[in-house]
Amino acid sequence: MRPNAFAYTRPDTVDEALALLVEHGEDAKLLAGGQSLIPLMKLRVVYPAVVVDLNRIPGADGLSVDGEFVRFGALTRHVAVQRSAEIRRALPVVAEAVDELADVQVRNLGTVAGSAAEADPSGDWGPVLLAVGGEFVCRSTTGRRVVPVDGFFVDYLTSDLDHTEMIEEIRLRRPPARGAGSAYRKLERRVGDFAVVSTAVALTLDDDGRCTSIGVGVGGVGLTPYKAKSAEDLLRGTVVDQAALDEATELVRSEISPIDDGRGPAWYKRDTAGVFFQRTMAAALERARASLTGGNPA
Amino acid sequence: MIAEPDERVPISVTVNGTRHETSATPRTLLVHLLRDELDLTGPHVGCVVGRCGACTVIWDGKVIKSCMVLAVQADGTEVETVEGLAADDGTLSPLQESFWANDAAECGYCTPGMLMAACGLLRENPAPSTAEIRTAISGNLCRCTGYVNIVKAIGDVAAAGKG
Repeated sequence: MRPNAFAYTRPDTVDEALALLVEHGEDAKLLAGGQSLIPLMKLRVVYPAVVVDLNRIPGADGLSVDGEFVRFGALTRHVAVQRSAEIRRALPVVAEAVDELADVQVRNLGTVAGSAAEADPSGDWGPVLLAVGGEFVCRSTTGRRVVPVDGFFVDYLTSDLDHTEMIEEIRLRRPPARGAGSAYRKLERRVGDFAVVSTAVALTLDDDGRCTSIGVGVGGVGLTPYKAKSAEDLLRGTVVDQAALDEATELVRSEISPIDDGRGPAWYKRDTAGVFFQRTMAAALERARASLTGGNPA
Repeated sequence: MIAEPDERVPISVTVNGTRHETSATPRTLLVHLLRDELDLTGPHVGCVVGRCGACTVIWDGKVIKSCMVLAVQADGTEVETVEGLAADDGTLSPLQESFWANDAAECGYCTPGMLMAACGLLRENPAPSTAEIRTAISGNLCRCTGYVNIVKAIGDVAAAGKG
């Protein structure tokens, strides 16, 4: 099984890559890690006339942490995220998701931006990005456009990215040093697979145990990764007890739109999403409370 | 430069320490370059959609699946395949010896990929736990389900300090 024939080009700069996208229009595809694009090309689901290989562009694979954001470049690979001690400490939701993402081989090549651009509703990055919050910096020959994570996933396998744009940077909002807790839980049929359902939570508690901020992302339950805004709204500003959690769980279950497919029937995914939401919330709350009491947020 | 679909793109690649000046069309996958152009049939073609890991090689020090990379991407890089593990006189590497001693191959189809995944693991982590071994080969399927002996073989060579 081989891809359709295509022309290949390997620009040395972002500007060159963007000019190629303008020149070749929708017939061109950007190749980053290739761990989704290449198999999709072999299956002839995708058949670009021109492949623009970004892998020789220097400096695009960075990962940096500043006061406000964790920043990934166009070519930052999953393995770099997985190995970052700072991310593991500050954003366990990210570390847990990357640990469960595919396998060693795919993590060594696959990129965060490529995975986000694929916009698979069952991918690991979608729910995590929606829970943590942040921005995509989309660059084209005419300039840069900042898209909030919340507006990036627009339809099945479709992001807000125009065919003349590339993701130059993904900025994940950095949680406060105190009171933050986050977690990711995924149900998979076999190790490294896409999610049957997955849930990501990132929240912050104040000293009274009140939830001051919360983000909830759910994977595998619709055409796009789902941001559970009603559940977030219900829990934000409250001290989260079991009754509130049960109410939020029912909101999550009622608002998602899973379908019957090879990974399971819709009713099963709906029910499981609630179970996983509760487990993820419990882990995130425990970490946030440990952070407040100075304990070790295991 | 832009390489046309039917154009053979020059590729300079070092495989198992030997430099090759070869070429391939853009659609050629790395696994096919290795097998069809360089006669290295150790990397096996299994599922062809990146799920089985039979084509696993080490590419510029990283464990990857060679069916998930274009041959043209390998220009100027270094690839290690299972053929590079044994010494020139055919003496098996400690990892290969351990697979042999532990009966860690049944039909053998997954073995080259398993060996390369294990080799990459032991270079980074010479004393992995059983859980770390299992994680490291989670991208490699053995349809004979001979995982127990494979994990044992990798663990034995690590325990012997020969990783």
